[in-house]
Amino acid sequence: MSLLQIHEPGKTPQPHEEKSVAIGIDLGTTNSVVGFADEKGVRILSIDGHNLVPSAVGIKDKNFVIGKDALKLRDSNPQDVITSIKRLISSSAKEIPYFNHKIENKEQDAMALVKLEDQILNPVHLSSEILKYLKNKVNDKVENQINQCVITVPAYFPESARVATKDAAKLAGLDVLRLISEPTAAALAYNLDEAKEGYYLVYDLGGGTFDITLLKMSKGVFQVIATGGNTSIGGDDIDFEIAHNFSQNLKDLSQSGQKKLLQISKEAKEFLSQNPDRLWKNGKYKLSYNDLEKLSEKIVSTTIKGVKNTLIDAKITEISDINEIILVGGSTRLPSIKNALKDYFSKEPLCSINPDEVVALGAALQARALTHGSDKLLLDVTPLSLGLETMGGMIEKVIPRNSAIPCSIAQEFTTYQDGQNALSIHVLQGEREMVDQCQSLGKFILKGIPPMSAGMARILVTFTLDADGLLSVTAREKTTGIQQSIHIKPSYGLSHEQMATMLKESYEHAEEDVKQRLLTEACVDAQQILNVLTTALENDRDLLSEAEFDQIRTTSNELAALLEHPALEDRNKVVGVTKNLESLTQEFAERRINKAVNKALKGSEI
Amino acid sequence: MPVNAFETLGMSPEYDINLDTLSNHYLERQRLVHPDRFISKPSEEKLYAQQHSSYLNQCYQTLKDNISRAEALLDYHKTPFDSAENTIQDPVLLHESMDHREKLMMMDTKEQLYNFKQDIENIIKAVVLEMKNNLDALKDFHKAKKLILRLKYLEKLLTEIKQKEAADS
Repeated sequence: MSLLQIHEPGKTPQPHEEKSVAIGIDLGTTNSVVGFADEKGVRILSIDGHNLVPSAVGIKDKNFVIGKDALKLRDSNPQDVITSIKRLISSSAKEIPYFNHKIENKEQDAMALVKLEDQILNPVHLSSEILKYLKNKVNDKVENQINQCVITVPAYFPESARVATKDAAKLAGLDVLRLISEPTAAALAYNLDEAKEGYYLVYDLGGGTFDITLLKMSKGVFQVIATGGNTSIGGDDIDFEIAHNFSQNLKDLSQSGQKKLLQISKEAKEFLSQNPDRLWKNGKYKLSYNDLEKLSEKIVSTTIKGVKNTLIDAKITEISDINEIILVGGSTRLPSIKNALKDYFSKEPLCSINPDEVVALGAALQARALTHGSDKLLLDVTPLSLGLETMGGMIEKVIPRNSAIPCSIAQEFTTYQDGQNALSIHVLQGEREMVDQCQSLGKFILKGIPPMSAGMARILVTFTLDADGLLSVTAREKTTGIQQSIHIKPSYGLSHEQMATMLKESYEHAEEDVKQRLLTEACVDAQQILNVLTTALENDRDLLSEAEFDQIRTTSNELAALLEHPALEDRNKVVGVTKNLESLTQEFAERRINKAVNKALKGSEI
Repeated sequence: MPVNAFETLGMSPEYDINLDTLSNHYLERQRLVHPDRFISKPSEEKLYAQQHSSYLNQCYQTLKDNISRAEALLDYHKTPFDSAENTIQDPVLLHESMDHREKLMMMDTKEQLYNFKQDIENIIKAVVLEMKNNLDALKDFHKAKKLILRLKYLEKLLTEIKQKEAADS
């Protein structure tokens, strides 16, 4: 709707708008956690008596079992249970070097598929089952159903994985208000804005991912300055090193044998992290803290190198400029990580909030801020560069990594052959120079370019990233105005059709329900524009001429009449009249924005 | 609507700007228009917020950077910098760049790299000062274009030095 409302910082939205409630979800590789914030404060919502829900999905007699029950099932039927699903979401089947479950399409450059009982499943579906479980468990306990959330993703999550996460939420019937990065959420949980202004580094080592985020706090705004890390290293790799140490021919073991040995290795790691001065023993296996330190050395030093690179990216030369180092993720319990960071920064890292819960707490605070207004603001960046394929398989970067989002950047390209009438636009993500080293996000073709000599056509390609970091690309030939655009769907992700089918399947009583929902949504939107319009007319009627006012009044009356007793088949009519009213009020909205901006500018001149 | 980056961020069109003031102005405006403030609003309104917020990000990026701010100022004075017609032809600059590159290749100790980095950073500071003088006081835009070219080359060199430093450590 075009009646853009501008409110002063810190003021909550219009009083007549009902405030919705939203939860924060940390959809983790190993565990998932739900947080909730209200006027009383922020807390973890325990599920079946536990704060952490194992991110495990199993199938028993054709029914999904999630969390603890899935882990229990794993003891008897390891082949029917899957864990670390998040690793499958962030890369394509052939890029996953090692996984705890058989991947059905190992050779394909497509989303990985796994088999549980006799069902072939993709990671979006599996993640949605976890989200659905969390949502239902939370809603069992509350009066008003909650279906809005903020979900955290690793800062370094590629475009495709962000889309997949949002798709999973949609399948679970959850409306995602915002995807925020996990390290940023952790920083929010530590209430750093109340601390002194300056730079903060978040070091987040989870089960399967490693993220570094550098934040700057000033004037109540959290700015993400730089991000770095690696989506394919994590605490699981240390388990793998330990398991490999126990048994050199790990890969020859059966699937269930491998799973068991990895589980034992994880126990060894956790025991020694807490009791570094003791020896760990289990049957024929034993491990000392010294052994553990040696086995994790490579991974720890890789992460420290990542920290250094991120600081260079952010143009920070003095490490003393960093106020605090915040530890996130269960794997940061490993003492050698704390020590390595302490050595590098000459400072004790912050770890007073439970590293397994800190992200969900931050997500909950952000969910509260988004639904209830806040005097704080979070400004995020895109973690990876986005660009286009040019001649010779090279990449031309359009949006460099660490650009503040949302953003929209246009670049001009041209044809390379005389009379060329089409241009293939290949969108990629990554830091390397060549196409085959980066991740392909999608392709489309701009057709109908008029015949011109090579280099004469002017094709403007615009990359737009929204506040969730999701990309759309538009190409326009300037002389003719022909235009093509796409919303990026990962090339190994789900097609719109697949998504639609899955969505349809997830509605048990499909048609009627959907129609009703569509009607309700249309009416809510319509009511909202009417409410806003009423307020706008009260305040700024003087910006309209009599004729304009009359026209707006007639249409708004028509819409109000429609909303009195809407029937299912009225939906299109409601949408149509709403659209009419929106276009009628667009000019009015622009005048109001100008007025508000001018006022704001006057107020802030120094 | 304000049309250029200077006006949008409430800065006077000068090269010599206070970066703290710039950052404050940017954050103030971002607080008003960021999409997070419009989360419960209809989608078209969110789109407006996104466009405003994107534009602010773009303007801030332009003014923060020593090179793009100079280019924006040349645009403002209607004598835009065109990279196609401004290639390195100046023999002095050409000589300087070849000399620096040779030095960088020969360096192998941390200390050498560190000192070289300091030298380049000092040269950059001097060029920025010269740019201020030419853009703000003398309004010598021809000279400013030459300085932009030199700055571009020096910044690139600095990045390479830092990359080498990181790779070695």
